[in-house]
Amino acid sequence: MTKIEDIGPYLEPVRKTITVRRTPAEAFEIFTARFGSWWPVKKFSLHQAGTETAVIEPRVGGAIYEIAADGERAPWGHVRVWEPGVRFVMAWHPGHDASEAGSRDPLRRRGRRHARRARASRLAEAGDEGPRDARQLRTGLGLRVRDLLQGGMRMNRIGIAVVLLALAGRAAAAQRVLTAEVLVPAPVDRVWAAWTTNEGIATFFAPSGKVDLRVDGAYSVYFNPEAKPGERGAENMRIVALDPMKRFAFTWSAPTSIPSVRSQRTIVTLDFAPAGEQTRLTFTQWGWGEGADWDKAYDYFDNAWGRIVLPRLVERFKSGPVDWKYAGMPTPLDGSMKKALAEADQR
Amino acid sequence: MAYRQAIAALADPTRLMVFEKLRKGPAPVGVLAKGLHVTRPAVSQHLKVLEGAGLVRARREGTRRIYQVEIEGLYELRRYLDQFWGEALDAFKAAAEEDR
Repeated sequence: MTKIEDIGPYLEPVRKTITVRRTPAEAFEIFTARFGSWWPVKKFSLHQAGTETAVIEPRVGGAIYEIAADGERAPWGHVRVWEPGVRFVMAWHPGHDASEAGSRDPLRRRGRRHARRARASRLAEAGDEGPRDARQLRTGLGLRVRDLLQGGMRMNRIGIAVVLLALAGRAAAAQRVLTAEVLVPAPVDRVWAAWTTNEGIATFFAPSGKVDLRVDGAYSVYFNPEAKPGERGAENMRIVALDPMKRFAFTWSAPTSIPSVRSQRTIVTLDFAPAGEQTRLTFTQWGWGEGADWDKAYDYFDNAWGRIVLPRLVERFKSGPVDWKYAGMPTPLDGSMKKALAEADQR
Repeated sequence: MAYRQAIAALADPTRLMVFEKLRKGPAPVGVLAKGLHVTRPAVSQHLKVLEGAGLVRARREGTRRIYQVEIEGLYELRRYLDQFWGEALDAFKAAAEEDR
């Protein structure tokens, strides 16, 4: 007798991670420009034995298609995100044109919008187009840089299929970037205020904060307001970019447990984009050094932003500000980044 | 080849929604039709297709039919996707590391 509890593992995304002895830039180039040379076209294609090659057009909205021996083309999908050397996301709709769903298809409108915008949609987006909008089962394939070049593929929000690729290059450490994206259920002005005001910080980030909102202004986030100065959290960080409702960047320090890194700084960049009544927030932390301590710091922040701070931000707009009396120091919520994303997608 | 039917069945947006509703647990047609802009008979039709594709199964409870996700079908689909991308990525790795 099948118990319904048993289906959980089967609904999890499919994830794949591979490591390739190439730099991210090379791996990206081979994956896309030389797509037809490595994809098993005789096996995985519409014409199978009759398929000659396959092509990825190198731009957002570019078509992905196979070419049969007689020259006939058949569609596979299209490019959603194009960030050479960093990330690649594709929608997967073999046998159907992207345009087939007609003008109501949000993918097409998105495609055009993205073509206009330098910054393309993020991985999470594959989940926010509801199945009601999808003409056929779509998947997206993405690559993005973490410490390795890494990416994701997901099949709609049903979440049956996700492939994660990681392409590690020897030059990876120097280019290491921590990225995350989250759909926050509130308009941009409110999400902006949450990061850039003392009051906002206290609702999700830390029990208190102090912001001198100008470029070069001080940005302090006190995770332990009662501790002695210098040990209260991220103190006197610097605001390095301030473009209201669009972009906010500040320097950031590591926890006291990693003093060698705490004496240095990384940079956190937040990009805000409206997504209907919600906000798509792209988080990036960069400027990482090399070595064991930096690796430790990277892992620390991967967890701290992805599993604590960003989920709390989403939660803050779903059910209200964090009550620090009970929350205390940041501790992992039950949810992971993925869960926060999934929940945001459900809205 | 069961996965082919499963993929084809889920290609329809309404069917995908019906299937997704079943993720929450077994339900009768009436409950599944709620919030969908289609009639109950249409939902029944969709369920029939999903059942035929091995993604859903029904059991009788008195006069009602209760639908639930068919784990076998889901497993087939997943295994296919897993293998598909596994092979594709292996091919990519092999090509990328050639002639170094």
